[in-house]
This record gives sequence, C-alpha cells and structure tokens, in this order.
Amino acid sequence: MNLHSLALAIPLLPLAAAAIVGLVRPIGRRGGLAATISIAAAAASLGCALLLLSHTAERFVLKLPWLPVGGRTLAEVGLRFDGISAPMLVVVGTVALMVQIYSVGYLSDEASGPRGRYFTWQSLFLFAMQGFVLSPNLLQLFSFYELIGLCSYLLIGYYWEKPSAGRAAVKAFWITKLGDVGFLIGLLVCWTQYKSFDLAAIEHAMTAGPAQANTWLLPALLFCGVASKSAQFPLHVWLPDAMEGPTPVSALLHAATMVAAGVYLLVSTSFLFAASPVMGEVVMYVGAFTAVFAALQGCVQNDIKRVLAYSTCSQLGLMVAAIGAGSVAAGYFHLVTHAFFKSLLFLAAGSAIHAVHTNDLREMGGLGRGMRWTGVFFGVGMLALAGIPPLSGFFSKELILASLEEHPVALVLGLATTIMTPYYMGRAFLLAFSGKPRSAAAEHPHESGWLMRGPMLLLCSLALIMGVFLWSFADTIHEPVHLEVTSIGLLGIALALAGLGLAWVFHGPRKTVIDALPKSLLEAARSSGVDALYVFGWRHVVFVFAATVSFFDRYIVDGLMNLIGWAGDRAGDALRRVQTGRAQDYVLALFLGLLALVAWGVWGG
Amino acid sequence: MPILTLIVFSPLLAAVVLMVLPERSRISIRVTSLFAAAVSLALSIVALTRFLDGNPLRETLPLIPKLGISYSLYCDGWSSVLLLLTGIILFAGCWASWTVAKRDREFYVLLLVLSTGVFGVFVCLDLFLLFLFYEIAVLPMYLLIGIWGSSKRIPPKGPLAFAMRIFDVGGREYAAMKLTLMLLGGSALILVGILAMANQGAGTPEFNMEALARVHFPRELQMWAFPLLWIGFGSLAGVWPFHTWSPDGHASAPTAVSMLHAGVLMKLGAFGVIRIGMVLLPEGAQAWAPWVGGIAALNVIYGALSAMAQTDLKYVIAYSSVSHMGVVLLGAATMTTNGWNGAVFQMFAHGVMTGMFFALVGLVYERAHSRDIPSMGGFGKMMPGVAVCFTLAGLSSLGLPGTAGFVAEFLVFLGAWESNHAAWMVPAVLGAFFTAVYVLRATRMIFWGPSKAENFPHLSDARGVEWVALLLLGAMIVLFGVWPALALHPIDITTMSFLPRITGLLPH
Amino acid sequence: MNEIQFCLLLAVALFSIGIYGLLTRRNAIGILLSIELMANAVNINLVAFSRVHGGAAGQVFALFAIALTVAEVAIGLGLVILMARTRKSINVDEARDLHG
Repeated sequence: MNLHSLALAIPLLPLAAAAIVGLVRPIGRRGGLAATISIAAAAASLGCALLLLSHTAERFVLKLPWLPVGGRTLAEVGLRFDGISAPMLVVVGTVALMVQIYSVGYLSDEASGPRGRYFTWQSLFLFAMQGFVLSPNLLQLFSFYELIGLCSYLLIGYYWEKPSAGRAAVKAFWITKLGDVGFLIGLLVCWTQYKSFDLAAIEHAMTAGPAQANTWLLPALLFCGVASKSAQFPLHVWLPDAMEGPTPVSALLHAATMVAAGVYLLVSTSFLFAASPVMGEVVMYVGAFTAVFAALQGCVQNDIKRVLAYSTCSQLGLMVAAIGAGSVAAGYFHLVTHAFFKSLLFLAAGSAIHAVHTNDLREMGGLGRGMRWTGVFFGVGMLALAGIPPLSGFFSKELILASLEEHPVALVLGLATTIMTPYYMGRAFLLAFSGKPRSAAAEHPHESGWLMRGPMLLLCSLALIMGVFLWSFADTIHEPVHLEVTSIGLLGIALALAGLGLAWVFHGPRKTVIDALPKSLLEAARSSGVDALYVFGWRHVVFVFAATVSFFDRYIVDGLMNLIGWAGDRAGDALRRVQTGRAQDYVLALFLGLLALVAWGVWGG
Repeated sequence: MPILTLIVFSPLLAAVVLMVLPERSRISIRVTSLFAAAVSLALSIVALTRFLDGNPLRETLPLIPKLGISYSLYCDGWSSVLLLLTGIILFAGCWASWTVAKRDREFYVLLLVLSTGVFGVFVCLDLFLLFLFYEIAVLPMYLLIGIWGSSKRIPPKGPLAFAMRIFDVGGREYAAMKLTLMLLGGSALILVGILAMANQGAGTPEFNMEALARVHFPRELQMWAFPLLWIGFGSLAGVWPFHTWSPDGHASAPTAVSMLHAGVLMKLGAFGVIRIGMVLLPEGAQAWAPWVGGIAALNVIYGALSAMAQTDLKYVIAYSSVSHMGVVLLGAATMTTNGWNGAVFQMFAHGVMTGMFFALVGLVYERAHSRDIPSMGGFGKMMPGVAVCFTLAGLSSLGLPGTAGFVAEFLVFLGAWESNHAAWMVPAVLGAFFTAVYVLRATRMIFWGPSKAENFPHLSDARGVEWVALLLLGAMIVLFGVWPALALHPIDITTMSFLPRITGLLPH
Repeated sequence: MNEIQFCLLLAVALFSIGIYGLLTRRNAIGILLSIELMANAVNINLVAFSRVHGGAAGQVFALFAIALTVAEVAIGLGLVILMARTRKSINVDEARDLHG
C-alpha cells in the first residue's frame, strides 16, 4: 500500500461510510449498524493517518483537473500531504474516533432512525474536515470549509424539533457564511493577483514574481473566513448558541476541529500574512481581544457548556494572536493540545449532563462523589487548560505568551486571559463536582459506562502527556521552537495558580456562592451587546430593507405593470362605445371618410 | 438518422399520438409522454457525445429560399448542455405530473408541444424558425396556467391590498394573462430585432445565424437592436423590471409547468440574450454592458431581498429564480470566458435546482393544501425525504460547494471581477449570501420545529413515482457539482469559439 | 349646360337622395331602395362617360353592374325576410346585437 492511496483513504473512507449509512435506508434505520460502519471507517481513516505520520519526510501533491475554462484548467482538485497537514490529520482522526465511540453511549436513549442520521453527518463531517486538511489549493480549502459549515449546521440541528436548536443551527450557518463571503471575494482577488489558487504556486509567485500592490487585501479577506469559522470577535456570536447540539458534537466540532479549521487555514496561508505586517498585527490584536473578551464572558455563565464554549472562543483567540504575531508553531501546537483537552472537557461535561439531565451549573453540585472518573477527567482537562505544568496546555500556552513578548498590549491581554481561564474553569469544576447537590437529579448521579469512559480516558492521557511531543511536532512542521524559562513564563504559571486560587476562594466546597459578582454587574457582563447588535441589524435593517424592496416590487414595479394593463382595459372600454351596432352609423362614417379623402385629393397634398 | 430532428419533434409526435389515441386510459397517456421524453433525453446525451467527439450534429433543409429561410439545426456545446437540461426537466416533469386528474390528456399534449418549442430554440440556427419555436414554447403556458393552475389564492395583505383586489392579483387567470401578455410584448421586440438583422444586406433576407455572425452590423443598428433583443429575451429571463410575471405565474402554475417554466423556459430568454444578442451584436452589447450588467447585478440582490420578505412558499422560490437568473445575465454581461461559462453553467444548474424546488413545493402543497410558510412547522417528522431533498435544493441554491450552483456562481463572480466593471461582483455576492438567509429560514420554518401535524392531517412522505423526479434531479445537482467538467467542458469549447472572434471585432 | 353636365348632375342628385335615404331610413326595404338609387346613379355616370369617350366599355360595365345589383337585391331582400321572420320587424335600429 503506497502513501498516495493511504492519503486518499483518509477522507474517502468516511465519505463511503456516510454514503452507505445515508443512502442505504435499511442500514440508516438501524442505529447500531450505522454506528459500527461509521466508527470502523473513522478508525481505518485514523490508522491511515497514523501510518502517514511516520512518513512526514515525504511530501507529495496529487492533482486532477476540476474546472476546465478557456481551454486550460482553472482549478484542480487534489490532496497535499506534508508536515503541516500530517499532525492535523492525526488530531482530527483521533478526536473524531473518540467522539464517535462516546456518542454510541451518549445517544443510547435515542431512537434508531435519528442515530443513523447522526452517524451519517458525523462521517460526512470527518470527510469534509480531512478533505479540508489535505487541500492543496484555496478553492478546495474554501469548498471543504463550507462543507464543514454545512455539517455543523446539520449536527447543531440534530434536535431539530426544538425551536432553539433550529435557530442556533441556522444562525451558525449564516454567520459562518457571512465570513465566507469575505473568503469567496478573497478567492477572486487571489485569482486576479496570482492567476492560480494553488498554495504552492502562490507562494512561488510571491517570492519569485513581481511585487504585488495591496498585499494586505488577500489576507484581510481570508481572515474574514477565519474569523467566522474560528469564532473571532465580532463573528463569535454563533458559537455559544451552537451548544444546542448534542454534547459530543460540541466536543468534536465546536471545540476540537471545526472551529480550529480557521486556525488551520491561517497556518496554511501564513506566508500571505507574513508578507503583510499590517494584517499580521490586525490578526494578532483581534485574537488577543477575543481571548480576553470571551474569557470575561466565560466567567459569568451558568450553563456548563456555554462556559466551555466561551473558553473555546478565548483559546482560539490566543492561537490566532500567536499566528498573527508570527509564531505559527505556537498557534498550531496550541491547536493540537487544545483539541485534546477541550474535547475531553466537553465529553466529561457531557457525561455529567447525561447523568443529571441539565446543563445548568446551579442544579449540579457534588457530582464528584458519584462520578469519580468524570470528575478526574474534567479536573485534568481543567488543569491542562489552565496551563499548569507539566500538562500539555502548559507548553502551548507558554509558547504563545513568548510569541507575544514584543507586543506589550497583546501580551497584557494574553496574561489577563491566563488568569481568567483558570478562574472560570475552576468555578465550573467546583460548582459541578464539589459541594452539596443542589437538585434532586444531582443527588445520585450514575457514572457513565465504559463506552463513554474509554474515549475520555484516552483523551485524558493525551492531555497529560502531549507536551513532550512538542519537539517532534516542531520537527514535523519545520518550524523552530524555543521553550526557555523566562520571567513571562514564570508569571504565566503564577497567574494560572492565582486563578485557580481565586476560584477556590469564591466557589470552594464550603461556599455556596454561584456568582462572585454583584447581580447588576453580571447582567451587564452577560449581555455583551454584540448579539443584540446582530438581532437589531437583522430585524430592523436587513429585514426592513427586504420588506421595503418587496413592497416596492409588488406595488411600484408590478403596480406600474398592472396600471398599464388597467389603462388598456379602460381605454378599450371607453372606445368600444364607438361600435354602436347600427349599420347606418358605420355607413355614415364611411361616407364622411370618403368625403375627407376626396377633399384631401382635391385641395390637399 | 436525423437525431436533432428527432429530439425536437418526438414530443410533438407524441402529442399528436395522444390526440388521436382512441382510448384515454391514464397509463397509456403517461407512458407515451414518458417515452417521448426519454427518447429526447437519450438522444440529447448522444448529441453531447457527438459534440465532444468533434463531430457535432447538423441538419439542414432549405425551406423558403427566396426569403432566406431554411430548416437548419446545429448542436454546439451550449445547445447540447441545454438540450440535456430540457430532457431531464421534461422527463422529471412527466413523472411529477403523474397525479394530474383534470383533462390529463390535454395537459400532457400541451406540455409536449411546449417542449418541442424549447428544444427547437436551443438547436435552431435559423432566426425565423427560432422565433417560431419561441412562440410555440411560450403560448401553451397560457392554457396550462389558466386551466390547470392552482385556484387557491392567498388573499393579498398589507396597506395596499385593495389595489391588488382591483387587479385581481393572485388569480390564475390573472397570472396566465399577465405572463402571456408580458412575454408576447417581449416577442414583439425580438421580432423587430430579428427582422432588422435579417434585412441588413441588400437582396434576399438572411436568417441564418452562422451567416449573420460573419456580417459586421453597422454600429448604429447594433446600438438600437441590442437593447430590443435584450429586453425582449430578458423579459422571459426575468430581468428587472420585466420580471413581475414570474412570481404570479409560478405561484399559480401547476407543478410540472412551474418546473418547465422556471427550469427551462426562463433559460430560453437568457440563451437568446447571449446567443443572439451578444454573439451577433457584440458592439451593441459592449456599449450597453454597464447598463445591462448593472441591472443584472441589481436583479440578483433585488430578487433575494424580495424573496426574504415573502410568506408564500411559491413566491419565495419564484423570486429566487429572479435572483438566480440575474446571475446568468450578469455572467453574460461580463463578456469574459469565465462569465459566459458561468452563465451557461448557471442556466443548467439553476434549471435542475429550481425544477427540484418546484417538484418539492408541489408535493408539499398537495399534502398540506397551503403555501403559507408561517402556518407550517415540523413537517420533517412526516416527510423526512422531502425535507432532505428540499435542503439539498436549497444548498445548491445558496451556492454550497459540492453542488452545481457553486460552480456556476463562482465562475460568474470571477468573470464579473475580471471584467471592466468589478463592482458588479459586490451585489452579486451579497445576493448569494441573502439566498442563504431566506432558503435556510424557509427550511427551518417549514420542516423544523415542533410538529403542527394537527393542522395538516394529510402529510406524508413522497411515495413511489414521486421519488423519480426528486432522485433524478438531486443526483444531477450533486453529480454536476462534484464533476462540473461534464458540462463545463462542452460549454467552454463553444465559449472559446465565440468569444475571441467577438473581442477581436470590438474597438479597443 | 350641355348633355354630359346634365347627366352628371342627375347622377349626383340621385346619389345624394340615395345617401340621404340610406342614412335616415329605419325601414330595411327603404334602405335597400336607397342603395339601388345610389347604384343607378353610378350606372348613369358610367353610361354618360362612355358616351363622352366613345366605345362600349362603360355601357358593358353598366350592364354588368345592373346584373350584379339584381343579385345584391336578391340577397338583401332575403336577409330582410329572414329578419322579418325572426324579429317580427324590419326596423334596422332594432338589429344592433353587435354593439360594443
């Protein structure tokens, strides 16, 4: 089996699974069979990715012509394997496989039909995501980017009978599509600037070809796509709502992979951003601001999944900031570690939600006694996210802080995030797992079965040890990393511990405080205004405009047409009275006409 | 074997057979029509392969030599793709009208006569015959909508509803009359344009398009004849402000007629604009480009915004057709390779997509007896298959990669961006975004949410023959989205045969 | 006043009387008679001009016209009889079903 067919199998196996489960109805109706096929495909796909990982020295591109235009090929379809795509393939494959296994346990109460649907979308997502990672050109990146958005829409809308889930799904699609409008225009700009969509060709043209004016334009447009998918301010509003989907979906799409797709896009087009220092700074500040802003929001949420959602948003902000500051390795490595510990956190939260049937932290409490495993998993995830050494999050967080060293404002924002992150995570952990139960359901929680614990265990061990792979990771992506003991690094550790301490002080087991802040301040913090702005824009600008256009069309444009018709009708009605029906009147008219003609002939012309 | 003649006239032959058929059994009527549609569909695939082999089909017979009129058919890349589209939609439409109960023989006869006209326009080289076929395609609409149209109307609402009642807006007779009058008004302009071109030289008039393409028309003639042709053909393509027949017409028309009309007939207009207006009168086209392209870009966003504000399902889809035909006309106006390829590809993509939409809307309407979107909800429970198909058509409509709609829109946007008027691209791209807004909103309001089954007791998923049209069209959407070269390659060959010669003629 | 002028004046008088009758009579028979007068005015003209120019063409033409007038009167009377049967009246003002 050669490397090319291995690389091809990575996206195509899940696609085949999706086609089988989705199109063959007897299989789709039987949830268990659907799950087996989907998981088998995901496992085989992961196996291929792992085999390829040992060949990262090889890099190859496979291409087929896709759009024949003007006698030439406008765009190709294919796959590109190199050091950049290899780690991402493994991360996506691992998390997807774990989440799919976990889903079998999580959705065991569901009917078979919906489960078949669920695994169809899951396989389709894995195909889209791996296809995205392997894309060699911008057009294909865009295509799979949108497909990922589609899968997100379908999976958020899994509970489609719930109106809130429907709204969240549509909102997610709209906001990501809004950013993709920028991406799409970016493709057009790319074509006019470089006459190619191929990443390698663009990079070559940038170094070898004549210098382009407006080097900021293309990265700026691409960043619109990045910001919408990776939930950067102000396009982040869809991510918290996306928590309406099943928790495993949140773990896979809205924590580990789909939202990281934007960051991956930044990584694979980083040479464009490097060419434009202005855009680099914009990206960095947007990321840093998002990190703090979302972390602040995370501190005041009472829904455990929304805490994690805002946390994801904040961490993505850190990755984006690091890449903006020029350190691709830092951002990319944080993507990898974050994928493992954040999906672990979501799965553990899902396990707790599965036990108490609520997302609300105020109705949990004391779950640690009945669910030791889940508590430990959540705790490990929390420590990794907080950046406590020697867990994986520590390494990537340190790298990010180091990359921001030369930009004081961004660094301060990053450090602020570093203290808030352990605080809100500690708060969520303490409110859920320690103290006394605050609802009937939380009195006797049942630990989840091994189908759910197994995947969590694997992700937990990865969250613990991933840090040691930093140097081999750096080798793979051919980027240097320097991890040294610096004052900023030490400050980062101190802040992380301080954050955890704060959480203990305010929400420790002896306390019953849910919110550390006064109520009025809380309300102000929760209603950030961004969402309200979108709602306002939608209801009072776009929709009013649409209604105006429609009114104009129905009454002015069509009204004019109707008026013409009506005028014709009236004119006919008036003129028909000339036809009296009396033959003598016609003869009179004939005679007068004749006289007029004669008169004209004699005296006129 | 005269393949093109067979493609064009096998529906007409079937119509004649149906008319003289002694027995009027349901099944024989449908089998005869389906057979004719299948013959045309199969032969149009043959025509496509013959074109790709470099051996395009051509059939010529002098008809009235003294007037320069001949029966000459020719199938180039554009024609072959549009023949294929017509074949697919006609075949699917015959399946979708399986349940027509009232005067079904006459219904199928008119449907088949109409498709002869459509096939004829796409392959005809002679402008005189082309005009004849054009009229054959348009006129049966009046009867099809007036007799078989939906009589249930949604009463006009709003502050000016009284004005709508004066004009009897929403009735099927109103819709049929409006559609016919507006399109015939357009034909009159076309006829003037055609006669002006045909009588340009001294002596015998020349109606053959290939011969006319070699004539260099004086600039003055081009300047006035091009807008005539553009408005004339454009009124059938739904160009603003001559699009208003489309919402009412499509809302009132029966399922198969909406499918054929939005799916194929509107393309006749766009085809005429490019093939006759722009190829034969390039200087006029270039001079008017800022206007016609601007109006086309306006069409895209105007149609999308209007669709957003509608509550009647058929009006939503009809306005979306106006928006998508704007994409076609925009691609045409760019006069670039990408733009023209995109325009013709969009004709195909939109035809398949909107055909599927109208088939689905017909299914929903048949079961729910309502088209009022806000009153619906939770239909996904009772009709999951319809919901999935509706989503698929919607995704193609909003230009999701992997569906045919994306390829077309992308090429048109690229063409617009490369053209002399890059600003056109902005409203067009925004229009595509608003398409996502209204399509997903409609999908959510109809199929998602808590079930309102108690208000709709007769809901059920598509059954038996109803699946044929949906599966066929759905497969086409995905097939041509994943493998666009199937259609794009022949389109590109023909574009390349027209465009360099035209740009060579143009003053720089 | 010479011969030809006399003939033409006679024809004009006859024609005018005919027109007047055609426009004012309500009785269908009266209208037919008026039309006859007009036709004969034309015939007089034909004969008169034939005499001026010499040759027999005008007179032959007049003979044809007379024959045709007979046919026309036959059809006209037929219609009048039909009208009398169906409407019990030959007042033309009552026969205006084609009014707008």
